[in-house]
Amino acid sequence: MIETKLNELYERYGYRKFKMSKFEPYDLYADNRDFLKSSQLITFTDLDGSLLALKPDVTLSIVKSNAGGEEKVYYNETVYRPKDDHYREILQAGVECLGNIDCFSEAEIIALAAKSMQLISSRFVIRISDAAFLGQIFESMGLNEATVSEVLRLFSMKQASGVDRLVKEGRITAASADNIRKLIELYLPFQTGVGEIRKYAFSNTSLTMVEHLQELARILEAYGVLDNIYLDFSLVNSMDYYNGIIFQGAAEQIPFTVLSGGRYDRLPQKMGKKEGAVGFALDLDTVENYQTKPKDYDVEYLVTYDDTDDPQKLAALVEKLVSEGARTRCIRRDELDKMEHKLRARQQLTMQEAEQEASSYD
Amino acid sequence: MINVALPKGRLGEKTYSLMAAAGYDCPSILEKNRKLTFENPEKGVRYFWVKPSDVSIYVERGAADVGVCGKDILLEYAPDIYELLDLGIGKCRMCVAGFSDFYDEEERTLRVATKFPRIAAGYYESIGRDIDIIHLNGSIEIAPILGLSDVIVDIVETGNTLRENNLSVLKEIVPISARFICNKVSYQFKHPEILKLRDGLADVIGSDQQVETIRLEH
Repeated sequence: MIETKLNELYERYGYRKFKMSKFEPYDLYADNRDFLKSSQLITFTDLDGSLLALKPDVTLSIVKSNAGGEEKVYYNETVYRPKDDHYREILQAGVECLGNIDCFSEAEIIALAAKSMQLISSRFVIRISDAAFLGQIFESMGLNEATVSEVLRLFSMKQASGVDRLVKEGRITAASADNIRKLIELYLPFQTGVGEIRKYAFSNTSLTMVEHLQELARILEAYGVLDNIYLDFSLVNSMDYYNGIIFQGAAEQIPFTVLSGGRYDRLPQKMGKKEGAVGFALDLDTVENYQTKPKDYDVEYLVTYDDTDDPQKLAALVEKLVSEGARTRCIRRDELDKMEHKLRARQQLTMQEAEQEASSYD
Repeated sequence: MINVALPKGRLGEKTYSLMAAAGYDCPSILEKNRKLTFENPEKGVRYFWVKPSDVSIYVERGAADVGVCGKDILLEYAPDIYELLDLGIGKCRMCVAGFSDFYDEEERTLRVATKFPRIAAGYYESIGRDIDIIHLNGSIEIAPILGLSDVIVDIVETGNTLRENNLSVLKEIVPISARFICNKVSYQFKHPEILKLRDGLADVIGSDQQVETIRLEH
């Protein structure tokens, strides 16, 4: 199973398993709703009257429980979130690194994301964007807040043609528009991409950011994952949450993004901690929906019996077949046609036929 | 192979004509038969017809890598896709329309009939007007005439239907045209092919070339 493989991977890199053992108070999620995908929660009252919630997210609990200093954890948990107008139980795996985050820790998390995707598919891509770099670019262009959110929407849809309207309305200059269009269209292997965006780094701050990305590329190369990593600024949809690098992972056979993560220092800061944080989560339900190969059969033998058959003999027969590694299901003959949930059996046998089959194993 | 979702109807015919002009023709689509998908392996494309409002669903869920659909659909359903090109065809406007002498009494909740509840709600939210949305599936123009609503939010192409019923455009919300859209994951794994197709289309649109619309059976 993919979960076991992922756990092994994270443990090999020294990450500790984080287990949610109790319900969190509702307030934890209410106070930090900016850091949640949705503010809708399943709430309930504890026996002492306090309001609790089923976890919509594991990251908040990990950051909350951090007692200070560096911590590297992974988890496999179900989270409860609205999806398509209903609450759903979603299986999630994730990795978080808290502490004084440097280039190495960031690269390690991205490398783990890439290696996780590798376990899912041989054809995968990790895309990296930098929220802070884009922020700097917009600042140097002197865009106001409303224009920034409009431009970000264009980025998320790679809609370069939408920039024209903003120019027409006088909200951005023609020169800025040119650069924005090029950045929207940018989709390049990480190393090449970082070289390319050096052109757009007009301030010292943004130049430092480009150098930071360059350094990441160097480390990712040593991890052996650089070939699958691309630079793409269309990953902008959680700019309030992430304050630095943002990344997402996709596999060829799955039409949705299944992994997303990034640098999120604002959350620990809001909780009064001085640590930084970087991590990612993987949507295991979607992965498994597109991964699991349908089994050819549910059982090898479907053995039918009726009142004339001796149940003791039947039991002995089943034991014999099962001990030979053949999955065996028994059913009364008169119930067979009433069974709505049809079973796929390699062979359907009466008890007499099954006895012959069993003797062939001797 | 790139899977292309074409919207049934005139827009789809125009789209196919542009694709063919860009070098992505597919002879089998011209044949009269009951086939549902049409492939040209040489050009690396496979076309299929779907209901116009379903194009974005096919693309978002990856059954089609790319497709063409109106901006109205994209604004209404906000699918998680890339919008790579404005094709400049199927042009019209999303408008508020009503009786020409309509006066908005602000102390009353405004009743708005529309096929596009999200666009209508978004527009009135942006100007801080409290409204009651009446979600209809067609014949929107009749709503103000029968007193079902005060105004309508709908697509206006020529404005003829409005004029014939004493209605007129009160406010243009947003211009609409057909867009070339793309699945976000396909974009990553079929990047060169999709960009080549997009650039081919952009070249045809950008040139002065008159593309004749090919009539198709579908």
